[in-house]
Amino acid sequence: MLFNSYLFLFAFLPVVAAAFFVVRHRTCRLWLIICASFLFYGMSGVQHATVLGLEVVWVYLIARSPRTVGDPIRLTLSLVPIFLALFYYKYIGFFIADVLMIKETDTAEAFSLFSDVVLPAGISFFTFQLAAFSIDRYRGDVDEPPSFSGFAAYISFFPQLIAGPIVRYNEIRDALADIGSCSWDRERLSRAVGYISFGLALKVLLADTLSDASAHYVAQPGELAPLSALYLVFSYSFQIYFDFYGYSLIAIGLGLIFGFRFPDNFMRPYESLNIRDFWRRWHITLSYWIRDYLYRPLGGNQSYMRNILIVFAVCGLWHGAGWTFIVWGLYHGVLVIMYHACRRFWDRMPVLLQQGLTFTLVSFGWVLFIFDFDGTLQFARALLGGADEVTAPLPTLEMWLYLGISAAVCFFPRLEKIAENVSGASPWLKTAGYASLLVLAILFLDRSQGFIYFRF
Amino acid sequence: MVRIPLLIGLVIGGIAGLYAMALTLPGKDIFDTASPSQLMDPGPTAPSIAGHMKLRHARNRPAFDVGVFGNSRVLMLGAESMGFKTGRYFNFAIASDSFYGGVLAARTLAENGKLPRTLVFGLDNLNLQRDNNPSWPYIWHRIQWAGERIVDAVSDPGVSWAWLARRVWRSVWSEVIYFKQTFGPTMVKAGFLRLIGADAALEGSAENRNFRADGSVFNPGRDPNIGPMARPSARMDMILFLDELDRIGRFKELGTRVFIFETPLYPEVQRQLETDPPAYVNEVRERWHEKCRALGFACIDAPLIEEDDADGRWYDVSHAPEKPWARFIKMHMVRAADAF
Repeated sequence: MLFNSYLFLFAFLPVVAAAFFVVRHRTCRLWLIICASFLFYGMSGVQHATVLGLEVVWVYLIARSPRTVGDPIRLTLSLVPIFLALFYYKYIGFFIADVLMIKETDTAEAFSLFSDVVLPAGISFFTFQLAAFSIDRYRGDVDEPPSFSGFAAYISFFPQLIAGPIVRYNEIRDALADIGSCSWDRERLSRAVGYISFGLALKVLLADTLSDASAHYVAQPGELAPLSALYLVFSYSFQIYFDFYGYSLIAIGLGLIFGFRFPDNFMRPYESLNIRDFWRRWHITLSYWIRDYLYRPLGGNQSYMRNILIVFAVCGLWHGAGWTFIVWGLYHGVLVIMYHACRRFWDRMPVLLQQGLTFTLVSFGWVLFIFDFDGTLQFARALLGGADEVTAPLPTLEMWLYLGISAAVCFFPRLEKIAENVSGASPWLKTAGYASLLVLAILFLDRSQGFIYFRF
Repeated sequence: MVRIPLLIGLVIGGIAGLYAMALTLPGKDIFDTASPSQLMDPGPTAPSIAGHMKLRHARNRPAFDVGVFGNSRVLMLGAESMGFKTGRYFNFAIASDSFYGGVLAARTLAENGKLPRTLVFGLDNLNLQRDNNPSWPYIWHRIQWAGERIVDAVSDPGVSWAWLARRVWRSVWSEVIYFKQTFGPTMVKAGFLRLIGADAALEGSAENRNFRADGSVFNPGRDPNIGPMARPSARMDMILFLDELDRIGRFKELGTRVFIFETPLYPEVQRQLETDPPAYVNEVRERWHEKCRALGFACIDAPLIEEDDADGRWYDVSHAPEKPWARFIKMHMVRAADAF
């Protein structure tokens, strides 16, 4: 089920929220969340919901024991099946075809076992969340394991199940404990409405509009004029930002309805001063996960270059099973190392120049998210004016207008502040503003697409 | 702080306002053209708009002699190919409407004293049948009429709770589909232009599916994927179908003649589906003819219409070429009635 669907907005959410406020018992509320979340997830396939359920049960059975603390065998037992499942669902096809270079025709029978594997939406997200819990438990950071219902609700909670934020147990432990006393708090719900309105508007009105406008460029990377190619670079850059940022805002807003405060996942990343700063502002919960559970265990700054390249390659692979994603990760890793090497020079540049360069470098990196290697090479040739034949029309005035609006929304209003500031501005004005955004977003809902990060 | 009840009210009001805007009818009667052969393109239109444009056209003139009711499978039947004069014949069919939608269109005409003397209903091929709700009435009428039917049906001994639940679910689901068809930027923009009178019905062309002055639609082109199809699993609801026939029977009291034609399928497909049809199809056919005999309707099974370049090609698997399909209907009407 998608947040940007009629079914979710007009049936699922109102029913679940109403039931939540009617039921007041803590355990009942937790089970309501679990049932609703599995229904939400199961709509995309019962098999995938079963995988999620089995992983939740498995990790809980191991992690609840006090002997788990400091026991590497139990930690391994907990982690191996969930990462095997991730590997099977997400990477097996890539591993067989692109790493082992086995063609489907070579071992048709063996390959057929893996060729029809359908990726469960958001498997990377909940696997990382389960892994974080297991490791935190091993390290003793989670001193008291939750009840099964608390744990299952924490992992499967529908607002963050499919595309994050990747929430640590300790970040929502108190909310889980107090869920029975979560009441109809107008202030909290005001903030929730703000986040949801902004998130839905960013996704439906901006990300999807940009996607529609540049779809014909994506379809013919080798036939673009340099200006069209440049347009696509920046258009996709805003598109992926609004797509994921919009999702994260909706997730935060939904979490607030049920009394949870999720960590922020974005902090105006396109205003970053350098690439390292970018990774502190983009998909923050993933960056911190990688820092805490991979970079530091690898030795952190002790083998800086090696570790940076490893974690960024892993970060790329986390995004998708393909060499382009690994190259994308390495591209960022190299940029971080280069920044580290010449930071004295870089930091002395005017702030606007630093921001502009960082934004441009990041935007060019996204090209690897759009195309495979062939497409990327064709696109690069087109960008440099080497297209054999330019068939795609130049961007229209309307398309430039979309880009201009996107830039304005990206760089000017501070949406979280507006959503959080419940006492500022006229309540009537705010109510009317949010209502207008929601009506507009709903008007365009039918042409809205799935979230890009659902694929990850 | 946001006023939540007000916000919910504004969102619902905003959606309702835009939805109503999308349903604005064109100021001009697009069927009132100088030439009967003129094709007209009213732009993006929801079924409600097409339906109400036709009913408005009928309200403003003497009752037609012949009216065709149904969906796109009879919508191509124009006055010329049926052999009637444009001013005396009108095609009230609405694309993707249900059989009941046609019954309701006739009922609305009857309430306005404009019921044609001869009613020709297109009944979707029994191998395809599914019971959609009528699509052309406005939402409040759809709800009212769907409710009426359910209330009427409750007295039927064959009705169970499961049936009722299915009907209610079906009605709700149909509303969701119609809402999605009507509520969108294209429809709202078109409605807004109609509202401010900036729409000016455009002259259509033979390259597109456009309206003729007699309410029919010209079908250009041909589906390239025309060919065999799997037997659809959807079934007609017998209780409702018999009720619909009874409702048509009430028009007989107004002195009308009623013809019901089962719509044909692409010959290869029709042969395929009619080879050993399931008991369910046979049962519906039997009950249909039984009821027709009791009510005095002329009910005719789907003909086999072969493809022929001279007579026009099939548009797709369930949309027959106009000329031979119209000829078949006219032949049966002439045979059955001497009123023309």
